[in-house]
Amino acid sequence: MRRGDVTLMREEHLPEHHPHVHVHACITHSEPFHEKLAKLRAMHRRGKKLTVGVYGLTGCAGCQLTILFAKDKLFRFLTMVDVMALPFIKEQNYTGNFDIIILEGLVANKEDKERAEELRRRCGILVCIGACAVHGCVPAMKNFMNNPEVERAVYAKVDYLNSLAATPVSKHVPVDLELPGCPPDENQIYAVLTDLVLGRPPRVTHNPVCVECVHREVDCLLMQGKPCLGPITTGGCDAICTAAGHECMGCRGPAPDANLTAFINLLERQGQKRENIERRLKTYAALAMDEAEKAQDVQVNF
Amino acid sequence: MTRTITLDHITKIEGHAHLTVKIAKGKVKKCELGSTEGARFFEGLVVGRPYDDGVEMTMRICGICSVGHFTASLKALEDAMGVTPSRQTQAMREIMAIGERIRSHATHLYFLSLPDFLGYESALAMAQKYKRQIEDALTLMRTGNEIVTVFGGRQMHPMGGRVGGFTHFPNAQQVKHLLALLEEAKAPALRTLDLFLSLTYPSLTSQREHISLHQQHDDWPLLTGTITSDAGKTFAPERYEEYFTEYVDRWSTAKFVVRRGKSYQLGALPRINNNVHGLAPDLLAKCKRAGITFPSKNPFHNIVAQALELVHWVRRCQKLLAAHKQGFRREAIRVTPRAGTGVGVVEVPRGILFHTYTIDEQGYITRANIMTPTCQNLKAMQEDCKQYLQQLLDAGAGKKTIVLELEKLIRAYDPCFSCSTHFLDVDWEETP
Repeated sequence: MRRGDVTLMREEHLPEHHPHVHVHACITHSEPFHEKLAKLRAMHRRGKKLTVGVYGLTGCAGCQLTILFAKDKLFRFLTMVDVMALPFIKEQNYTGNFDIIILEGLVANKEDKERAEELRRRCGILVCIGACAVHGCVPAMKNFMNNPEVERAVYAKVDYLNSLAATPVSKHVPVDLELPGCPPDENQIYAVLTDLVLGRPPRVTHNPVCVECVHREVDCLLMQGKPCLGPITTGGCDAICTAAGHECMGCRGPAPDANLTAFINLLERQGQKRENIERRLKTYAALAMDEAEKAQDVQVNF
Repeated sequence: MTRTITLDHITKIEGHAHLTVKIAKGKVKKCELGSTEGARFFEGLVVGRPYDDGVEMTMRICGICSVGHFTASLKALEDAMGVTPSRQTQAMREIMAIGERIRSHATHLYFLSLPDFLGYESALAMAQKYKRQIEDALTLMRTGNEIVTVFGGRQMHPMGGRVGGFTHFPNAQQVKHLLALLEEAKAPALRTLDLFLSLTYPSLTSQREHISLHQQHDDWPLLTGTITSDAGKTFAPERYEEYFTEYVDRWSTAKFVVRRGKSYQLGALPRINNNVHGLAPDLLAKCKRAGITFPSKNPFHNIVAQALELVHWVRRCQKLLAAHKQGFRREAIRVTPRAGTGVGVVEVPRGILFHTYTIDEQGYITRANIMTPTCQNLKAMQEDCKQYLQQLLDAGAGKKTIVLELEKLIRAYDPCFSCSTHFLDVDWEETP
């Protein structure tokens, strides 16, 4: 079993802290989140199953597949909750309200926006999973490029696409919980879902990827001259890419206390072009990175 | 009321599929298929990026065929820069592609197609009565996933490889682990084939070209081979965009792809039709007993073809891995960027995936074009829907049966939005 692996357990089996599971979760909803959790906790104590829906907006379905591929964890989860909608594999999907809705994908057109608004109305807790839903992923880069040029590279005529600026779900509706990553780790998804079922505060990490990378005893790729984004990227992924010898690409978005200026200087000293660094930083979480850069007064030149 | 149907050029995956049907006096007047998935503009986004980013970014097009995009973009970029990957690298990519083929087919067969034939709303609802079948599905999916994870570092959007080679190398222990999993997967794969051979498929014959890569000897195509049609034509990969032309239809943003104005079909069925010689004798005998012969022009037989491939690739992967029992040796990546244009044509679970890139002398991408199999199959799917619909109307089928049967047909193609056809909205317009 891989480190960081978590199995779903009943409350009485669950230790107070899972030392190896780091979960990054941003709570952005205005209503106090703990009140919602208290409701879930009460339901759990009464032995009432939560109703769950899993939906996707524009995206690659990779996050829903991650849920599906989890095999044992999925089937154990299915005994704990009622998954009443999952259009990806279900024909009959409940059209009423849910306790929890899990949503993947970004808002890229009018239909996505309307769908996100509808789903928000229909649930108590909205959980966004994956880089698309949380950060806008690769498509959101378009916001920082020459828009017409990008669109014309694909379509000769674009006015019939109903296309909106590629944006994360939280730009349109309040989101209770966000699990970033392209895709998020299955352990992480199920750890958070278990927490919600039990009405516990989801386990959060603010550590950058480097912390997990060191845990796994991976030789530092930055020291080898590779442009690894580990120091400024939120962890929770168990450093799977660096463990495979590939530098971190920053798919989980900027870590809360990342020092961008210092990091960019470091990469420039390595001989990386400023323009490439900027593009690299804005690949998966362009909007969040832009906000972080502005907050830290980073000079952007591309 | 007629609705506008849009199918995005690149996303072409889940999202909500739309079918607009117009019937007058028992005749099909209109049958338009599309999806409302939002446009993501990947080909525009990779312009100006270093070549390696092209691999990493275009992979994000699809979760279920990320290895497909990975191998196609690598092939295209290496072609552009004149890089020849080592034999070990090629073998590793092949094994990864097999892993993806196994998990993709298992997912489609059991989770998307089988419930249609057994009369269930989903595989989850089947779990009680068909426990062993669901377990087989999960075993196969896990096997495929493990293969991709061991070679790519992660199950989705693999990161272990880049232009010129790999960044990590599975050791002897990992190879042993995969061999054990594959041994375990052999029986479930055969049971899958038996199960899908035992189902009854509607009869539908569509006369159109079946195009796939062609392999000599007793193999089936994956990452290499000549582009071949069952009419006996071969096509040079570098002229793919000339042979297979994209066009935009009045009602759709989809760039339908056609050959000389006509639809053609890609996927597991064309692959087998064009490579019948690769069918192992025991599998051939099973098909014969079930009364299914190849080549077949029944689009529903694509499902059987996938089950056949499942068995084939589990066996083939065992052979490939057995040749590397001692693990894979570390190899350095050496790539010198140079200007050029390259194409990558590979077989992914749903058919031929085409990538092309032009890069400048510093190794920056200046142009990209991608044609996915679902895009290329779209016109065929639409035509088959129309033909099948007429067939059903002539047989006096009711609306409910028709909707169900059309969904079944669309899913048989395993389009990348097959998932969403569980959500199929049928616009029904009937004039007496």
